[in-house]
Amino acid sequence: MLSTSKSDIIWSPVHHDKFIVWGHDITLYEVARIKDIEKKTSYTQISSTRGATVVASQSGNGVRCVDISAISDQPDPILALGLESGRVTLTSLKQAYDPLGLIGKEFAARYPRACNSVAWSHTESNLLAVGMDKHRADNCVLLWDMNASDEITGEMGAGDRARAVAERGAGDAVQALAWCGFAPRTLAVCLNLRHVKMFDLRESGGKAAGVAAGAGSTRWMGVCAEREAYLLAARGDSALGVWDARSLHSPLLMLPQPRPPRKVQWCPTRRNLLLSLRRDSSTLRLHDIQRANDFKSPEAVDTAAGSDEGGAGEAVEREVSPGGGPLASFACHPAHRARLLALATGGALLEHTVGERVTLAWGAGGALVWAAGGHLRAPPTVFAADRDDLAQRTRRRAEADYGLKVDLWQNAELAEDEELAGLWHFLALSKSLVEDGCIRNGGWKHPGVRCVLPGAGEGSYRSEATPALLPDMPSRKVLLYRSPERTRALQLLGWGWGWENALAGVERAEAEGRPCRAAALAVFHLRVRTALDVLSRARSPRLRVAALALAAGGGAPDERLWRDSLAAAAPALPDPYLRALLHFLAATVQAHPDFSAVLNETEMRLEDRVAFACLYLSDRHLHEYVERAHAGLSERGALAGVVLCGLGTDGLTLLQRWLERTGDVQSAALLAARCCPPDLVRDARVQRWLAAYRALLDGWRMWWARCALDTWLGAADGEERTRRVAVACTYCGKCVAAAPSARVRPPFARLPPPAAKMKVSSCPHCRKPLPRCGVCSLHLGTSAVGGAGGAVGGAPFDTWFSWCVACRHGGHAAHLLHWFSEHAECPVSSCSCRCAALDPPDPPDVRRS
Amino acid sequence: MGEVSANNFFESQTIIADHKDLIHDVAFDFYGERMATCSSDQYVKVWDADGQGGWRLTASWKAHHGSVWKVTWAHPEFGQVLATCSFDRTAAIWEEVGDITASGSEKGLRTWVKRSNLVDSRTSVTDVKFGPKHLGLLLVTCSADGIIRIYEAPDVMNLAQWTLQHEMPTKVSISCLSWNPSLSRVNSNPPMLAVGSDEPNLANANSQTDKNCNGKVFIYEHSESCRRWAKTECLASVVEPVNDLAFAPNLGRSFHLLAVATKDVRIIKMEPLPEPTSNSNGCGVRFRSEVLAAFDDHSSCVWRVSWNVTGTLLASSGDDCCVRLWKMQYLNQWRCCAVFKNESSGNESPARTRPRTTYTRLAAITNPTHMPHH
Repeated sequence: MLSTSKSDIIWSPVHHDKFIVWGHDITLYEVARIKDIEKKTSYTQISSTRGATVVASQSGNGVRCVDISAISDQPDPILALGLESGRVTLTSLKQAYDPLGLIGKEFAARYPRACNSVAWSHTESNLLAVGMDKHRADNCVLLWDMNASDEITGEMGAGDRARAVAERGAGDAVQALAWCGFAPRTLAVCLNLRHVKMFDLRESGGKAAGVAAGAGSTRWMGVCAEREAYLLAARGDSALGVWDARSLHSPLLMLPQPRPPRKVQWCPTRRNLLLSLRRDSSTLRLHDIQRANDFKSPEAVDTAAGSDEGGAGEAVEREVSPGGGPLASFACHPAHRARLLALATGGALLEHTVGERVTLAWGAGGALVWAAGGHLRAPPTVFAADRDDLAQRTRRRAEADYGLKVDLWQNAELAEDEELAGLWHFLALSKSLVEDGCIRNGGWKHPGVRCVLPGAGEGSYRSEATPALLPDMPSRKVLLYRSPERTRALQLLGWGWGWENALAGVERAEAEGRPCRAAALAVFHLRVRTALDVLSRARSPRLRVAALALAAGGGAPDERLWRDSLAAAAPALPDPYLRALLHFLAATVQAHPDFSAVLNETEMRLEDRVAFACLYLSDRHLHEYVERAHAGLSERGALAGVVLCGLGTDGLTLLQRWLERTGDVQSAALLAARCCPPDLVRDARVQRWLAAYRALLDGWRMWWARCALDTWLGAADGEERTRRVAVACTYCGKCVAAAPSARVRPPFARLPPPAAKMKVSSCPHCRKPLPRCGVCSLHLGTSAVGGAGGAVGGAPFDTWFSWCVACRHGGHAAHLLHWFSEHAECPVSSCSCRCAALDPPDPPDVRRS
Repeated sequence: MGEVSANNFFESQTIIADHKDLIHDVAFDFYGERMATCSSDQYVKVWDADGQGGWRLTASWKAHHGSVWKVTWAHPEFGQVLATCSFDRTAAIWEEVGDITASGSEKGLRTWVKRSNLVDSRTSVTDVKFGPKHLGLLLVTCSADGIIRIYEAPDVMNLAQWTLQHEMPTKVSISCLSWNPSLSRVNSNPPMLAVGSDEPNLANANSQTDKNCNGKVFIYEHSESCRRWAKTECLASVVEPVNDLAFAPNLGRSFHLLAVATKDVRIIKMEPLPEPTSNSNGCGVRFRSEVLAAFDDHSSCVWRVSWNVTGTLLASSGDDCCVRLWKMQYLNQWRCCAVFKNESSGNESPARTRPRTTYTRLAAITNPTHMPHH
């Protein structure tokens, strides 16, 4: 039964880098990192980083059971070998210094029979328990003491049989035994294949301290006990039983097994985790034992024995495959968490780390924490800082009052995003144009190009086409279109009408360090000379080369040749504006120029492309171009499209698409709050953005930003910024601090100097007294002049009303602060409300302000 | 897609939590300044941020008679309130009060008082979540026998009284649930719950479940007209046992993002379809769902998923002992941007032999009649 299948792997309980494998031979291995193992030594790789080297080996002939002692201070593990003959010998596989003189010592039972199990005690490392087969009425559980037996051998002389310290289990046979972890000198024993019993060796007499009930018809083959805890587990041929040592009268769990388990072991580093290996299985099974009740102390349970509290157990099961086919055995590392070593039937050694269930959570502040076993882990702080995530960016911007600056263009600098910055600039521009009356808006604060260029159908306009000469290239002519609508569109796009405005744009572009754009703007306004000047001033030599091409274009003898070579060279040019510029010059050669090459330079800013179209495209083509561009941008959710459609209904649709693409609800909410007419703010989408952004600000405790947002919203709504919170009189229900414009003012006007600090100690409406301060017992007064004017002219903080929302007692803010710095309960006598404890403790960073 | 360059492997900092057993859940409060942990050692601990990036333990108490599976914070509008659920078949509501023996230096200590114990479940309560604040003080629990229960505190000042509002039985074991955090009730956005099942797929049981939907994620919605919750959707794309799921914070998007921890990390986009006019009782298809991403980097089993506050970063943990962050690049595109190894550098990395964990399930209770009474 035992011969062939008997192979096992055992970690040394004291040497954390040594283990033995025994089968036909007993081999001691030492584990080291592969890079630390010397080159010439041969090793067995057990994981990607570690290898095991053979330290020593001996024949396992006749050995029936092995255990490694927990005696510390030994250079190499001491093994107890239980032999077929009934003897137990101590050995160290490696010949080494032996201060205790243990090696080679032998223990033998009175009558020779097979030795089935040996177990070293881990708490008293000099104790060795041995389980024997049955022999008439002889005891089958023997306890040997290393120290005591020394003296006995001294007395009796070498060769004489040493006597066991304790003997139990007369007339029985032991299959397996294990030391219990919760008490010293306590053994869990599998007896006669039928029982699982506990023996307390401190008691005299051969009776078992406890018999595990519910063992039933299963033939029990092995037993193990949890370290420093009360759980016992036994393996049978058809089931796995788990008991609590304090209530053995019913099993905690009986897990039916289709195939007999080959080995069970409690995880030495985690509580309540049982590992089992089935015969011929390539996976280990982890049973996480869950219990619904907890024992306060063993005594309490003993008295409650017989109650129904024993059986509520459940196991969360997992299967773990270390890989490498069917397993023969496994061993958990005695100290390292979740590390185990598996022995495949082929003899291969595999180290495996069992992944624990890792839980994680993300806090509103951006803190990520996850739990590994019993500890929490967080990413290093540097990590959070350099993460360019939207949440971080949103928070940074909110702290800088993004979107709340009075002038719209100021927000552009905070946007940290070119696309957004461009949009804020456009909105600032369109706002100023609307305010100057240049553009008649249809109720919108920020019209777009499509609003000022009516479509072909409705209120159509007719532009006049005027031929214009290029001043520096007299041979060429282009058609320029002009109309009041186009002028407005050009103003919206930032170009303005006429060379004076355009020149300003050119200079601005050059100052911004974009000479190509400056040059292109100049050329689009037919000032090739200016463009050449700009390019020649450019710092980059490549641009000066481009200027050469431009200059050549003016006087090239063969224009067709020049155009062809240009078409070939243009894609190689680095800057879209340079390409557009040359395309434009090339197109002007023709009688009916085709500007599509310029318009298709999509890397140019949309404003410049559309403005170009406004200059050079006929009405129909211009309309088509604008519509096509708008459809494309709004399909993609590109913010630049707002330039075309303005912040109206179409603009909201576009913003929604953009939001879904980027998730930047902050910008969407702020743009809508600042720039949308009131009826659009009431749009369901805008309300959703605002609600989401407010929730974000709430989570970050950014009350000022939230308040400022609401103030802007109120301003946009056209309603007066009125006070939203008021203290009402208990009797009449009217606001105590009534608006000064109401009828309150005249009565007080008769009173002496109104500028003096004026306290109202009764309700101005019903003349009933106001409540008293719980600390000083004076009436709570309000400043009579603190009307609708807002916080600026209000009473100093110390005299503010303050009250507890739970018990409704209150007082002067300063008094209450002082009171609660020394007391926990409400200042009103006989009120036991813990007003100050209702709120969470102030976080330290808030307290400093 | 799963390629991770060397420079986004990060070492992590450790906070000694001193739980005696596996930590099952970590939860942040609304402001992210307090943290609650729960563990198999039956304890719940509360941690407060100290303002310098560290955490200070402010409370620790034995909350249940079994493993505490989940812990969750209520919105601070309702006070400092926690809910826990446990293997001992109960869920509990805890409220923080000042220390009874407050005097002098010990005034900072806080104690938590059990306000209510919800004992309706007959099996282990696997998840508990407070509802979105605009619905009032709502709590939903789910249990291993597949019953979802929704409780409401009619008086938010009285946390001792919770009424069981709805009970929704499902046929399968439920492991996790998530509220849709949609903030408003506009736009026909009824309260919505997603629940995930960890019922193992048994090969022989296939024929039975074929008729039904074989999915593991169900969507429940509250119907204002019928005044009850109804299962409106079963995500057919998820057929493996689900360990965790989470709705992303809805930042004004017109669709919902749901992260599912199953065999892989899955991000599912659920786009509400326009109300089917012909079918008024809500039987029609309510959503168009689309799997945006499915990452199997966590070898074979993903344990938890969690979104950051804007729903642009997703953190996941799995069987490979790593925590991975997934970042939204553009719509529909997600990429791994960081990997945190769980073990410190002193311990070695797990063997690359494709270790796998086939499934997790709750074993049958040995003796149901022996369960203690509440």
